[in-house]
Amino acid sequence: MSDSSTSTIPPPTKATTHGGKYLTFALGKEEYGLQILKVREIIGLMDITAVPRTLPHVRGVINLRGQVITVVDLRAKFDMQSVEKTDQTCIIVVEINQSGRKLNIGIIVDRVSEVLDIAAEKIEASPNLGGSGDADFILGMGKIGDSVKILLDIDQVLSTDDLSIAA
Amino acid sequence: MQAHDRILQDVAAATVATSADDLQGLARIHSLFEAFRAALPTSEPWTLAAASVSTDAGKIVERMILSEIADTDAAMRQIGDMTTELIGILQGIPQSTPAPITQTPIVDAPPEPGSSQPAVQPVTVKQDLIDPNDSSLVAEFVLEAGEHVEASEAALLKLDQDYTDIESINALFRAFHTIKGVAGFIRLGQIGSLAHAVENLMDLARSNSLRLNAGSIDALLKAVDLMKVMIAALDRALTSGVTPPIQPALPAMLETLHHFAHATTTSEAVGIAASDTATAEAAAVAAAAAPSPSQDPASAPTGAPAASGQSSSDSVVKVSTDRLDSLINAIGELVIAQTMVSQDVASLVPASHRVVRELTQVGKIARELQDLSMSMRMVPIHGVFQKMSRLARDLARKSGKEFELEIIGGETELDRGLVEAVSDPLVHMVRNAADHGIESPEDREKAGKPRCGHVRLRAYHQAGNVVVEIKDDGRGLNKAKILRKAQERGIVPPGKELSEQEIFKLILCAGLSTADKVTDVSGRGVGMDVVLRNVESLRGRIDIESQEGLGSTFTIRLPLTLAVIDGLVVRVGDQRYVIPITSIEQSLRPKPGQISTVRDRDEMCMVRDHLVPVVRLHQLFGVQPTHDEPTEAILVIVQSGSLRCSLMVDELLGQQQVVIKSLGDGLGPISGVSGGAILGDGNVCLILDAPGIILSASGQ
Repeated sequence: MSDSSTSTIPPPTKATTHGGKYLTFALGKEEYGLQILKVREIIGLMDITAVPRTLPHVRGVINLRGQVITVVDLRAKFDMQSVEKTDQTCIIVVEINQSGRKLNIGIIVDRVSEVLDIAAEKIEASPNLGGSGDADFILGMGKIGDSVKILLDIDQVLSTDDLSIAA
Repeated sequence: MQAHDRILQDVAAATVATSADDLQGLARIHSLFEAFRAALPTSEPWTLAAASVSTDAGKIVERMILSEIADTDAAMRQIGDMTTELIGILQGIPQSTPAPITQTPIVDAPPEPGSSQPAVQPVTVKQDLIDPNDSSLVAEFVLEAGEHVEASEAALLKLDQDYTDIESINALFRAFHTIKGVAGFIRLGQIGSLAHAVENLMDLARSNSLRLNAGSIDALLKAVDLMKVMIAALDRALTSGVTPPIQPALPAMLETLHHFAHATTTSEAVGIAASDTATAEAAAVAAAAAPSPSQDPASAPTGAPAASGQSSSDSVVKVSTDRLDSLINAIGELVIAQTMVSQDVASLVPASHRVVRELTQVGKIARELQDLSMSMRMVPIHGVFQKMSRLARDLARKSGKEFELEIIGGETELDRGLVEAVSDPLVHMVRNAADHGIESPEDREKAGKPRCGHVRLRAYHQAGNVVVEIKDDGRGLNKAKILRKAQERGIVPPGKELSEQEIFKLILCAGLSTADKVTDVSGRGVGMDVVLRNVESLRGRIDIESQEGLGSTFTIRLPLTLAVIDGLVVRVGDQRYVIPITSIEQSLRPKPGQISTVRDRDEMCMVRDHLVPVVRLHQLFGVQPTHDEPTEAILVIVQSGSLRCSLMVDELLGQQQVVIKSLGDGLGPISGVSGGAILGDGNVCLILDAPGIILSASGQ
């Protein structure tokens, strides 16, 4: 056990940079967190216009006060079981940084929880996910009491090549 | 993390969490902004900017608490935007600190050690240094100087016609005087010294100590070009945070200008004198009047805007294009929201007449607003035309031909986006007219035409379009040779009869335009396919008229605005799509006999003796259709150039004007879709890219 834990303990400097406020939301039983400075607004689920020839997790586009923005289903993105939409389902509009350009993208989540202040020392680096792919998109794991919040690096989650059209 | 960063995070969190009517939450935001201001470090270059934004934001919150703002949601969004702006300002810090200029004293900073100071120059050139504290001033200067330079170019071109036009001389003097003044103030050494040299020269010219001639105008035009380069470099430096590079061409330019200025006092003719008498006169005047500061009564106070010939209105407000676009967006949304409300009210059973009447009034105002906002996007075309007259002048010099460019309708307005886009095609066409259309003076005389050729550039509005016309009195197009060439190239099957228009259109084909033989005959070869493509991508078209020996007229027709198109809304399954009206030829419900298949898959429809491939949109886009049989559905025949295909849709929902939106930056180009539109009910609808679909259909 000591072997595996030493290999996953990160250089502490990396984790300490991520302390701050996070907007937390739920996908099923899992709780995730987004850096608050990335969040533009939270809107209810609305009609989404499907766009052909995009990847399955790209739900389509919506009209956000005159601006057309792409909406991504985070469950689909994470290969999770899709669920019925409820009245708690909503779209979080995030501003992501894509090679220097800023763009707004909506992500569909099951439920928005709260804004949490997570101190740097409460954040652990992303764990080894048992070989099921890389954990680049995770900033770290925030420990709040007994629960664990998965803190997302949303820029990585929604990197452009993931949105572009499947060939 | 510093105190102000932490507070800003709190602000961001609070703005997301607080609703507009939550007074306590607002009060907290207000105090957070105050705390943020207090926590700002005093000495950083961005302190001022951050403080002013946070003060403004604080004021808005205050007014919200006092219920002075009606649209609290919009105000809330504004606060959100300001918070983002603050984050941007704070994040901007690391970019500006590594630049050494922040710490080094600015005054009298020596040029970079690597750069050698040329010995010949009369004025010691200091580098352009940007004090980070001045960056907003510099940004303003870049804008302003750009305008001055443009005005100067116009004035110079006028002077080129009449070397003594005192108004243009004054305009030039004022423009460069202002540039010099501001450049000196914000310590832009290079720009200042060039402006100073030009100003000197113009001062001599307006005090009649110097007669301008073709040579000096050339030099001044080059100086204006150099100034443009330096301003562009400054603009780049502003964003990158590094010191603008030293312009190697500057010392030589200063020397030239100096030379011209001195030529007057030593009464030496420099360059090409306009005429002998002029030189003598200039010498006489120069001998009489020493180059003293002018007593010209027309000399304007510093900073007066240089009038560039057109009537400049005095009350003009500069607004950033981003703000303008968001205003236009917001008004578009307003119109949509208004339509939705009216529809909902109309469907209420006991509709109150009063409400309906009031809503109609609101609708009127909303549409008026929309028209107004659209007109704000419009700018006159004269900027592009001015570029053309500069180009024509250079071309005439280079080619040794004589021709003049007449410009009509420079005040014609068109969409801001179009102005940029129309410039390239125009350059091509003016160049072609000069290179190939206009004959040499000797040939012209032989043909019984005046030696000096005539090219007319004219712009006007016609039926919702902007029309730009380029008419020359050159040799015209040779139909027979174009046709022969096209047949040799296999573009036209031999023996096929073509109308005059069709033959002229051939020169816009890629295969022909690259053929150098045709350019011998008719000209208009170079890049005409590019011109056509550019114009078509703007949903415009080109018409050609020509008479051999008498000249040709090229007419470019463009829509007034890029923002709105007429579209046909169609339904496929549960999805709606917009097809641009310009690409639609007709729509029909085919009879069983009209449809034929190849290999049981590829369907064709016989329309007026032409076979048109059928594209099943539902297959293309993976939608469940209502009708699976073409004979039950509707075929919309679209065309692009000479290619056609028919799109199979379930229903035509009607024609409407839609505002074009890009599909967001997140998605790359999607084949078959050219963009999105927001329909009357606020939903997004995809605009079909007819040429793209046709190409992929005919490519199979």
